[in-house]
Amino acid sequence: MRLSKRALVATGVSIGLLGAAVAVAAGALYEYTDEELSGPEQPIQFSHKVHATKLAIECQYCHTSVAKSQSASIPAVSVCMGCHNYVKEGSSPGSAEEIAKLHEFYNSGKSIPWVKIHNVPEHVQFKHFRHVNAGRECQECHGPVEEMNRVWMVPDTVLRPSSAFLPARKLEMGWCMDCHLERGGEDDCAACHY
Amino acid sequence: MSELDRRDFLKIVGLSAGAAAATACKEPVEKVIPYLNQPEEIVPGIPPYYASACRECPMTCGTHVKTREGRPIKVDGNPDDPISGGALCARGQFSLLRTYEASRFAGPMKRAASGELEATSWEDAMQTLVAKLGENAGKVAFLGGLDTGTFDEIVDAFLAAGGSSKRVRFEPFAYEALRAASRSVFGSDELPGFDFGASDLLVSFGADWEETWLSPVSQQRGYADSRRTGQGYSVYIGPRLSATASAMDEWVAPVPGTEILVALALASEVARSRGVDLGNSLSAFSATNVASKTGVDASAIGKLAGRIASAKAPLILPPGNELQGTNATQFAAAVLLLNYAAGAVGKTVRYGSGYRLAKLGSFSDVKTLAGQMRGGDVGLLMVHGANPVYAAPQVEFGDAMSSVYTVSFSSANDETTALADLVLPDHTPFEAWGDAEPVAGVKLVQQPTIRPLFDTRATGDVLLDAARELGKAEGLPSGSFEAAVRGKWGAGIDAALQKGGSFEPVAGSGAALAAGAKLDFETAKLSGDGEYTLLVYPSLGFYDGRSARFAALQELPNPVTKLVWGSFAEMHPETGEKLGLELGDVVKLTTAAGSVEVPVFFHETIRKDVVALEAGQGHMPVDPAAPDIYFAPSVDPLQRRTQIGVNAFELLSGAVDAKSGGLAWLSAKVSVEATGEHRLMPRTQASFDQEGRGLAQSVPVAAFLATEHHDGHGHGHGAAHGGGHGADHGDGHGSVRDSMPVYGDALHLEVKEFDPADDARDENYRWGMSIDLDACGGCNACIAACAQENNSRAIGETLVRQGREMHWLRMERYVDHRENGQLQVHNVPMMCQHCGAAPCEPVCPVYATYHNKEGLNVMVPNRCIGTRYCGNNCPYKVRRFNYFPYDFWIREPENLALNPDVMVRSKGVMEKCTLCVQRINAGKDQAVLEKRTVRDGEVTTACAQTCPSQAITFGNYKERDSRLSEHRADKRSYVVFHHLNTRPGVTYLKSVDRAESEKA
Repeated sequence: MRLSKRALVATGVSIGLLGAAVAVAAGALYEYTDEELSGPEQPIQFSHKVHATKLAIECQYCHTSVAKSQSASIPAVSVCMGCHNYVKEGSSPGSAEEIAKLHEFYNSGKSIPWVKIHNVPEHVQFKHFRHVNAGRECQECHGPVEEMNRVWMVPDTVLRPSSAFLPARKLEMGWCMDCHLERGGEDDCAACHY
Repeated sequence: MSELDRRDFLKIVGLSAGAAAATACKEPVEKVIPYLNQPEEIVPGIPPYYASACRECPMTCGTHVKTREGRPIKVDGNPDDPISGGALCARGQFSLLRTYEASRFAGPMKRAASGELEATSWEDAMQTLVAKLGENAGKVAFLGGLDTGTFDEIVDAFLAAGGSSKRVRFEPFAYEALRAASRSVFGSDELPGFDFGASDLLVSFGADWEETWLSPVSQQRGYADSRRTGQGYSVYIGPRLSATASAMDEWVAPVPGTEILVALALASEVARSRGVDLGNSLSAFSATNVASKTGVDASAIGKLAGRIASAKAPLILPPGNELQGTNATQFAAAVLLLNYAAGAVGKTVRYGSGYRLAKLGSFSDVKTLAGQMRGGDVGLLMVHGANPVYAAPQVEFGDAMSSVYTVSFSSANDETTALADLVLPDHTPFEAWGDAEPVAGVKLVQQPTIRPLFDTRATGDVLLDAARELGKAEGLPSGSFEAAVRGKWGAGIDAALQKGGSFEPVAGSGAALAAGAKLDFETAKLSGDGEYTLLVYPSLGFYDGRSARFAALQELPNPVTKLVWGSFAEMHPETGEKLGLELGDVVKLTTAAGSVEVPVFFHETIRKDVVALEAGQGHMPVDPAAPDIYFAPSVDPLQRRTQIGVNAFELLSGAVDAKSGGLAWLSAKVSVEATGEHRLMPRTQASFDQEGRGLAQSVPVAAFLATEHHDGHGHGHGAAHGGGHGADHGDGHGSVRDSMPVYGDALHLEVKEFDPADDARDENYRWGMSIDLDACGGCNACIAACAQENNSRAIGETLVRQGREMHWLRMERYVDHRENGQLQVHNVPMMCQHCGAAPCEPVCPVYATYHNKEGLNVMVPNRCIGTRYCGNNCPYKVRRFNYFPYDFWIREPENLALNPDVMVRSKGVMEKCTLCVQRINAGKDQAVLEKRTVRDGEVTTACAQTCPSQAITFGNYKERDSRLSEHRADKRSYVVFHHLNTRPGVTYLKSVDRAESEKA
C-alpha cells in the first residue's frame, strides 16, 4: 500500500500535534510565569537598578571573582555591610526596612538565602573568567541586570537556524553553542562536559 | 507523485510537536548562599592548598591538601618534604575518607546502665573523666600509637603530673627486632636510615618496602631513582613473590624460617672475600653448609655473595614483618652484620638518619600492660590511636579491659572502643592541629583544613583541661593544644605553615661494631602440627588493619592476587592440586592458636609449602548503615555479611621473639582442610598469563645498555620478549610488531607509524602519557589518586565479582617464565589509551565518545545512552559502565569529598579515564590568561602526580622537547596492541630485565 504525500503529511502533523498536546498539558508549568518574568521574591528586596545604575557601582565591586574564577561569586554579607554599616536608609521608599533585614541577617550570624536565578544545567562546567577575559559583557548572558529592581532571567527571543528557528532556552547548551559557533568559541564537548 | 522521504516526515513530526512545547522543564528553586564573612584567602571556585601532614601511618609524609570552599577534597605529597617527595601511597590518597566517614562518632559517648554506649554531652563526659582520673590517681595508663610531636610530650607530661608513668606506644609494625639488633650489634637504640637512592644493589629479606615497611613512598622513589639508567640489581628473599618482590629482579625462596641461614652464609662469604672482621665467627654458616637446610643452592648463595661483595653501595634490608619469627632479633643482627661486612654501613645504612622509633613499645609491653590491668596496678586506661583488641588477640586485651575503666579517644568505632566505658572522640587529622618529627631534622606541622564535622575535641585539649581541673597541671602548657603546637614552633610557625614544616634531614653516619658482642644464631621455631607454614603478611591497603573500614580500600585490589573484599588463603597451584582443591573452595586453616575459614586462591608466586594470608581483615562490622550491597556475600545477596574476611592475627599463637618482645609473625604451622563450601571469587584480573599478547614487554639489560651507550648500534629497538609463550627475542632490527605473535589477519594490516599531527588537529597540543614499566612497582597509589580525583565509587563485592568495578585505572600483573625457570613479574598500569584511531568512537550511536582536536578520546557521560557498544569494542577493556545509581549510595558527609570539578556519574552511562581533562582545562585556562601555551610539566594527572617512583609522565606530544616526546622516541618505547592500529596516546617504556643476563 502506498500512501499519498498528502496522507503522509496529515499523519505527520497529527502525530506531532498529539505529542504537542501532551507537552502542552505538562508544559503549562514550563512557560515563563509572570512572576518569573519579574523575578522571584528574594529574602531582601535588593535592587540592582539602584546599585548599578543610580549609584553606578561596577559589577565587579561586589562580584569580585568573576575575572579570575569560574564562579562570579555572590558577595559575602560582609561586603554589603561595608557600605550599609553607614547607609541605613536608601533613597527609594521602603529601603530602610530592607536594609534593616540585612543588618538582622548579619547580626544574627546568618547568611542570606538568595534565590538562584541564573542556573546552568547539571553536568556543565561553566567558567565566568574565561568569558569575561574574552571580552564578553555581563549583559550578554544576564540581560540588563543594571535596570532590574528584581533580577529575572530575560528569555532569549532570537530565532537561529541552529535551533530550528525556535528561541533557545537561556543557559542551555543550544543557546551556549549558538554564540560559540557564531563567534568561533570552543566547540569541543570536553571544554564544558567532564 | 513525489515521494515524501523519511527525513521530511520526521521534520514535520518534530516541528509540529516542537512548536507547541518549545520550552524546557521548569527548574526547582535553588538557593545560593554566600559567605557571611568571606575568608581572605578563599575565592569561590579557586582551590587553596594547605601544607599539612599525613597521619595514616607513623612515618608521617608531608602533604598539600587541596580544599574547595573550606573542605579538603584531595591530598598530594609535599614536594619539599624529603619523605614524601611530592608523592603519597594509596592509603595516603584515601586518607580523607577518615574525616568524611558517615559512621564516625557524632559526639562523646558514655556506657549507660544498660551496658550500651550512649551519647552524652562534653560537660558530662569531662566530669566523668576528671572523676575517674581522681579515683585512679597514679594508676592511669595511656596506650597510644607512635607520636613524635607536641602531643607526645603533652601525654608524657600529663601522666607525670598525675603521678603515673605507664605509657605504651603500641604499633603492630614496631620493628622491635631491628631495634634490638641495632642495640646489640651497633649499640644504637634508633633505627638506621636506609638510603635506597644511593644503593646499586638491593637485597630484601622479606621487607615489603614498597607496601608497608617503614616509609614505602620515600623508598620507592629512592629505588626508582637508583635504577633510571638500567643500573642496579635487586633480590627478594622470602617465601612469597609479593608486590614488593615483583618490583625486584630476582626472587629467592628459602625454606620458611631458614632465611637467617642465607643471611649468615652471605655475611660469612662477603666478610671473607672483603677481609672484614665481624667479631663473630660465622664459618659454620658457609654456603655449602646451609644449602641443604635452606633449599638454596650453594652456587646461588655464592653468586649473590659475589654480587654483594663487588657492589659499590649494596643495601641489605633486615627482615620485614612477615619474616619476623622467634629468632627475629638474631635474624636482624645477621643482616646488619652482612651490611657491615659488605661495607654498606655508613654508605647506604646510616645511623642518625633513621625513623625515630626508639620510644615505641613492643608486643610484649602490651602483654605486660594487660597483666597490670588484671592485677589492679592500672585502674584507668586511656586508648588513643591503637586497637589492641583487634591487633593483639592473643593478649585477650578485651578481657583485661573489663577490670579497668577505659577511655577511648577514637573518632570512630573499633574493636577496642566498642568495649570502652567512655568515648571522647578526637578530631581526625584533617580537623586537628599537630606536628611530628618522624626523622631527625624533618619537622612537619599539621594544620586543620576543615572545621570539625562532628562534636569532637582535640585529645590534647581534653588532657590539658582535665589536668587543670584536677589541679595537676605542672609541666603542662597553659594555653590550648593549638597554642602549644604553635608555641613549639615559635616565630617560625608562619613559615612552617607555608612550607609544611622545616626540612633539614641529617646525613647520618656509619657505626662501629659494639665491642664484645657475641651473638648466637638459630632458625625460627615453627609451632603446630600442620603440614604447611602460615605466612601472615602486612596489607598494602589496610596497613595493620586500621584502614580496612573503608570501602574504597576494600575495593583496591590486592597487588598480588587482584582480589577484593575479603580474606583469601593463597597457595601454590600444585599444593591445591595435591589437596584436591579448586579455586574458591573454602578451607579451614587451623593452627595451634585457632582456625578460620577462607576461600583458596592459587598463584605460582608462592612456595609450595606455604599458605599466605593477608593481615588487616576481619574487623567487626563498624558500618552497619553502609549500603547493603557492600556487605552482600557472594552466595546470598540478601543476607548481610557481618564481617569482611578474617583476622589473620588470630592464627598466631602469640609466640614472641624473646630478645625484642616482638610478635613472631612467622611462627605457625597450619593445616588445610576442605569444608566443602565454595565461593565465587571477586577478582579484578582473571589470568596472569599474557597469552603472547605482549602487553608487558621488557628488554634484556645487556641489549638495553648496548643501545644506551652506543646509540645507533644495530637497529635500535631492543628485542621484545614480553610475550611469554612463543616469545620471539627479535632479530635486532624488527619492530615490536614483528616480535609479537598476532592472531587472525591483523598482520596484513598496514600499521601506521604514530604521528601526533595525525591524531590531533590542534596546532599546539596532543595530550598523552608515558608509563615507565621499569620504574613501576605496582603499588596501587595511582588507582587511589585517580579514584579520589575523579569521584570513582567503590561498588561492593558482588558487583566486582560481576566484573563491574569502577576504577578508571587498573594495575595488571603478568607472570612470565624465563628460560632459567625464574619468574618474571610485570606490573602494567592500564587506563584509557586515548587512541588516535579509537575503536570505541565509531560505534557510539550518539557521539558521546569522540576524538577531540587535542588528541583526547573524550567521553561525555551526560550524552551517553548506555548502549555499551564502546566498552565492547575497546581492546584494552578500560571503559566502565554505571550499572546502578552509585551516586545515590553516597551518604553524608561522604559527599563532601567529591571533586566539584568532575561530574558525578549516575546510572546508565559509560565513563573512563579522561587524562584528567579538568586539570588540562585548568592548565589551559591559566595559559590563555597569560597568552601562552601550556608548558611541559605544568599540567599533570592525578596518577602521575602521586606515583612515588615517577613512572608516569603526562605531557604534550606536539611539544617536541617535552619529556613525553622524549619518552616516545626512547628505545624502550612501545604501545600496547600496536598491531591493532589504534595508535594509542599512551606510550609504555619496556622494563629492563636485569635478571635476563643471569641465564648464561
